[in-house]
Amino acid sequence: MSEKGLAGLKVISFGTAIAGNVTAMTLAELGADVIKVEAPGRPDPLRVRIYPDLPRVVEPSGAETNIMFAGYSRSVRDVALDMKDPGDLDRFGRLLAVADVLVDNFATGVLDRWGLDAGRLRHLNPALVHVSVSGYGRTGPRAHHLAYGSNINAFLGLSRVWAPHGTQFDYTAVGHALIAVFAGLAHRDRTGGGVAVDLAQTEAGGALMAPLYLDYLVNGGAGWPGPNEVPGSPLSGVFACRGHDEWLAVELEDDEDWRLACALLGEPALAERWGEPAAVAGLRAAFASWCATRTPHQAMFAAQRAGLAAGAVHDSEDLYLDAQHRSRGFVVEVDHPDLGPLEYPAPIHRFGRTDVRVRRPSPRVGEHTAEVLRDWLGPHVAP
Amino acid sequence: MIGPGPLDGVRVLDLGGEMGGYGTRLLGELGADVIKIEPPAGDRQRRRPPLRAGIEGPEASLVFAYYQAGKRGITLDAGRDEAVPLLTELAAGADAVVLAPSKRTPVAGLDRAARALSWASTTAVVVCLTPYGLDGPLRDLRATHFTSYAMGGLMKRMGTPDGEPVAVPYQQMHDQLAMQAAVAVLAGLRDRPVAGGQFVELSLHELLGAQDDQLDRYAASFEIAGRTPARQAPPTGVWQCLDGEVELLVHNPPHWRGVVRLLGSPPELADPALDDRGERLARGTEIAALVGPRLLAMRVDEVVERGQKLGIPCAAVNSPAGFVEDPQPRARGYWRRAAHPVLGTIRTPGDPFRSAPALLTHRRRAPLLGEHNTVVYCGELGHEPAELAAWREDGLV
Repeated sequence: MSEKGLAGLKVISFGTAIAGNVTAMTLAELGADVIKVEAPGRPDPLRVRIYPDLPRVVEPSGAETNIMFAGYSRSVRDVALDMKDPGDLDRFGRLLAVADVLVDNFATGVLDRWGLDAGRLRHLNPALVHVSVSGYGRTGPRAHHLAYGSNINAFLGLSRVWAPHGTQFDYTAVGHALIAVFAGLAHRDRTGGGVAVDLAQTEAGGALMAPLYLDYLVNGGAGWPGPNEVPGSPLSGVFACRGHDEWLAVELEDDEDWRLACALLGEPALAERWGEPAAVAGLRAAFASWCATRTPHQAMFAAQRAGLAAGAVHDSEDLYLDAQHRSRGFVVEVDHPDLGPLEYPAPIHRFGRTDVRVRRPSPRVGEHTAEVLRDWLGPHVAP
Repeated sequence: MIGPGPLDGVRVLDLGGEMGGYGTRLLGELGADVIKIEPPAGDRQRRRPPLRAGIEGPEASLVFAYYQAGKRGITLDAGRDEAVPLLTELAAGADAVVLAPSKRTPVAGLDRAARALSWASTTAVVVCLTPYGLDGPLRDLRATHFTSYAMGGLMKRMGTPDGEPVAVPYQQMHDQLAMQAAVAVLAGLRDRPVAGGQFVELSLHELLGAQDDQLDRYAASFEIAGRTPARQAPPTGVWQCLDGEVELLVHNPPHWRGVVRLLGSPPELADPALDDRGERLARGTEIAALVGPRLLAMRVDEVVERGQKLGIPCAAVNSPAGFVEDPQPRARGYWRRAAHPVLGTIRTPGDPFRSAPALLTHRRRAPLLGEHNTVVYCGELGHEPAELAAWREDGLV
């Protein structure tokens, strides 16, 4: 393993959107020296405001910035490079030569158009760990297909089975990209050689949704659970509580839970009828009327005291006020030069010794170009 | 012949159960020697559907076979104080320990307040996974993947506006936490020359709270996102075609112009003002009336192939089987076939990423219940078979 630890790690990120930015941000908050490369005329699309109730904020560079970008690209430094300009392309090559890691989530072919195909990257830095994230992978008939998160959700079958959402597959890509980075570094430490990683969000997403496909793949079946049905659970679901759009989520894991629920709801006659469809319907009805007169938190605490797994269905206001988050210092304030002080979620990895924290607010386009060229290439290199 | 992986020589003790399984699986496929420690009656996941048709018992679960591949397996009731001497022996050679303690699966020797595991080696990276955290007022709440998802804020935004909130099925968020556990092990091992061994804590509630800018969005504007679909400007959304559904995402002017060309450049859509998303939102009904019938006359494949050539992010709305049969993962050899002594040959999703040279390698199938008890307790730790028999008798192993 490296003698340098995490602090000496140099990372170049072309990462955009959620998958690319959060990968870079997490590496920076773990202690790596991460630079985000942005084209001066074509800044990260995440900078463009999508929430109409928030004001449009333009930073001194002329680019926009907003809370979404601020939350997803903290802690990195920003280097403006126009990759179509020969001087900037040369600067990039010299930065790459001293970097440990390159992360990108470009459409297939963009790096090639700049002359940065796999062979050129290897020539510039034979020990580089290059993690390339895409929707469908860099080979195969859909290699050139564009995809955002909810396209991946639809493609994987989840829009049918669950809901048309998608950002979870950005976070899925982030987790795998981080593993690929550190595994690649471990490979390099062992062998001295670099590695090129082809990470398709659809394949990484499919790996995490494996149970959705296993019955079809192995048994030839085509069944999947209904909404809020947990395979293997005698009863799971949400129940409307007192108030508007207030819910309790409950899952019974086994026969012991079933008996505890029957006792809590005053249904002793159902206690030994675990698994009978009529008994399940009866216990559901009992949960529904029991929840109807309670707030989600009253119901949750009472069900928990009875020994059951239950949780209030929270919204973002509940999270903001969450005593658990507040007591653990999970909400941190970051002062941003263009957006002002705002609260954000803290880094989730709580290391006992390694220094994990927010390093700086999200950068302006090119804010650190001169500084990084000096730090990485030495004071004699003209910016 | 399978060569050494990047984690060759690294040993990991896996007490992560169902919650941590995916992360330790990846560590195993990276070449670590992962020893999964299960309760004597077997991990809860051994009973998790879908099962192999026609098979019963502790080896029937396809979910277990998938998530626990790449590991060796032993049994031990790790919640009992009598387990501590054996855990200490196992931990003497372990570089990392991943654990997910709960009321029903406690781990002896864990000091929650001090964030320490008494029997772990001082040079080990110890990663502790919990639903809510080791401290704080909700630390002792009992949780499952389903109830955690509800508490984490994402569920209330999923589903139809007049229906109930709907949780993402199966265990994806546990797997995301497990991946971050693998990240913690890898980052901790990399930082070990500087930091030494250390204890790392990860809470699922925090992993969920960090997603989809829920907290910062509320802090910025006190906005509560509900199940009303985000105000999407058509033609972003799901559309019915001749033979199925397609989803288009139309975020910027080039995407929009691509859609206009896809539909044969009808004069009604030629207005340059429609390049603007706000304008399309304001004239949503008009646009939907023009787009809908034209897409209804096309096939899904045609929309996706031509749409992608025109630069529109779009995809078929598949069934799960539709994904399995799609030419892309097939062409890339994504689906893995592996032999299992009880389940026969099973097909599962393959490597979540690929690389040159290969980092991930399928090294071994999931362990049978207690499969490596003898080789680990007797062969590696040097205990007599009679001792192992006595522990079995006692229910410890």
